[in-house]
Amino acid sequence: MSDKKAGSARVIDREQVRHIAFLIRLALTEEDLELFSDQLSAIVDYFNRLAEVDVTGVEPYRQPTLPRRRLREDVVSPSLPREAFLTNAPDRQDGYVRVPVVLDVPDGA
Amino acid sequence: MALHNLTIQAAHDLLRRGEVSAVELTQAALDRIDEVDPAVKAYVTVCEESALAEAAAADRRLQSGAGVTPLTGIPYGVKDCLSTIGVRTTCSSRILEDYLPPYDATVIARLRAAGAVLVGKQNMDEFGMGSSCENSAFFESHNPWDLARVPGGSSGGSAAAVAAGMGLFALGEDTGGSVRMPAGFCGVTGLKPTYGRVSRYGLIALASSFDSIGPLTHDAWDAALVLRTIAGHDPLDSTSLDAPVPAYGRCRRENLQGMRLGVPLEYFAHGIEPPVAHALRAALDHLEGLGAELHEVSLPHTDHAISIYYLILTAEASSNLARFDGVRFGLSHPLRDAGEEVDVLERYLQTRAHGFGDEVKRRIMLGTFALSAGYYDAYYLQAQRVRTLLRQDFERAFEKVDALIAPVSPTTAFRIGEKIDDPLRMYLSDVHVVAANPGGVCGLAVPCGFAAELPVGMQIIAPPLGEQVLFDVAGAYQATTDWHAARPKIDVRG
Repeated sequence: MSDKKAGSARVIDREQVRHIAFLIRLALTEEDLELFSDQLSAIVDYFNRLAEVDVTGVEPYRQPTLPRRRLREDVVSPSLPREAFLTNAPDRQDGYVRVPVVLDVPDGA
Repeated sequence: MALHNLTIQAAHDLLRRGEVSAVELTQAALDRIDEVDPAVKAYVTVCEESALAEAAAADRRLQSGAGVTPLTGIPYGVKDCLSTIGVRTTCSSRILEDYLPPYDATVIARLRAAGAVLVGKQNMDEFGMGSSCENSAFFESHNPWDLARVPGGSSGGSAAAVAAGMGLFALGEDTGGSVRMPAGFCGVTGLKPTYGRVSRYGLIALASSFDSIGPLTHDAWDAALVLRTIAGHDPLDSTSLDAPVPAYGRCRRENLQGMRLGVPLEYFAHGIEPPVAHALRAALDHLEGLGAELHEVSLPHTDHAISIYYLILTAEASSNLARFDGVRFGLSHPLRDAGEEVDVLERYLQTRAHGFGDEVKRRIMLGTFALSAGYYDAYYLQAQRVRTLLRQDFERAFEKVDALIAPVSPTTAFRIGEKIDDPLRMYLSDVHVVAANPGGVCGLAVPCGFAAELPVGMQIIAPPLGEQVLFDVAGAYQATTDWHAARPKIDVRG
């Protein structure tokens, strides 16, 4: 646990943690919110020192375009056998991956 | 020397002369695992049966003499983030606890083709997130030199296994020091090759613009042998480089006459424990004695390397780990609730809450924060701009010198539990190793002494594709020192 006092201004407050966790589909408990708000704030506070660096005229780094990027020939070749893939599926039915209902279907539709 | 403690080269000589068989070598590694792994806990999965079958096949190859390579019949282990067909690959995470890869990583396929014998999969910090191996969802690994201490991370199981003689080499993965740092803590040699030198196909991704697969071995020439086998372009990884693969290690230098070595001021400036600094100074004197010229250099953005690294890493990791959704593979929680279908949103929320450990949660939240509207410019983009400056630091230094010499870590291995409750303090233990990944350079950790009976590591850093320079410096150093030949005495009663 960081030694920041509870109640002192945090860079990332509980509501922000709640929002971020929802964006990445992560259920958190109330205790998690408190702990992570504390820990993430201490880390982001450290990252804030980066703002001191003068980056006038400096381009952000980008991975160089690969030299001689070649496209392969479009040739039909075997893919993974269905069974090899399905072995890891948590839920399967009739040779398919079974997924939860994503769209609400009205009764009788 | 006991069979389980040999270098690859020594084992290869015995195999070639028929003085030992691959089955005997593999059995020695398996026996050593039985003997010391209950205390060290380096392995998540041991493949005894398939290892002995692969060793028998290697013996047939050795007898016929056709297709024998320096790795034929050599038992090794891999960090559990590399896909192995039909062998559980977990990333030391609950979310992949039962995952069986349907294909081999390219590096595994290349080692198989060379006749190396896979003995098992090694513990790590979950998804490579950590510097101590304490973030494994299954168990902590222990440092073979002192079981109360961490082996480092995230390739901690791999470093501990090699140090303890459980396999003659290992493959690890280095995203921001994850091979070099545990190599330093465990007194073995660990290589982070140039990004793109080795195919990442089949590696479970952490940060795709940093991830580099590399060997952990007993010395630099063993590392060269493994790199020679795994390096090279792979049509299955479009970021793998086309550059030809030299016969690494074949031409060995006797001395370092004419070699210009840079000593970066910033790496010796702050927070280094005196006995570590002392060992490093002695190593620098030794290199000078071998004929190298030492030059002071400056890498002015070193202080920002941790921030650059963790901001970009968490951003990339947050998107890489989005694939764990409980639908196609991995943990799915709950699959049904009292036989009832579970709402899709609830399934995602609970799968990820149950499947990921706290450090993974922290990092994917940090990455999402750094990429989110309103913060992107100040964090992610700023980090990429300062990354440009960090790369220029290295480019300028390498105009003056052939390689840099630095510590691997500011301390020796710390105690289990010492930093686990303070994530930022844990991040700072990577201070000397993280820059190489955003910096685009390659690096090698080699043992250079002991402080209170714990290994101290020296890091050699070379320009992109300068791996042979690393082997030249380390090879000359190891030919005239014997730190790399030390092996821990493991108290298995503990």
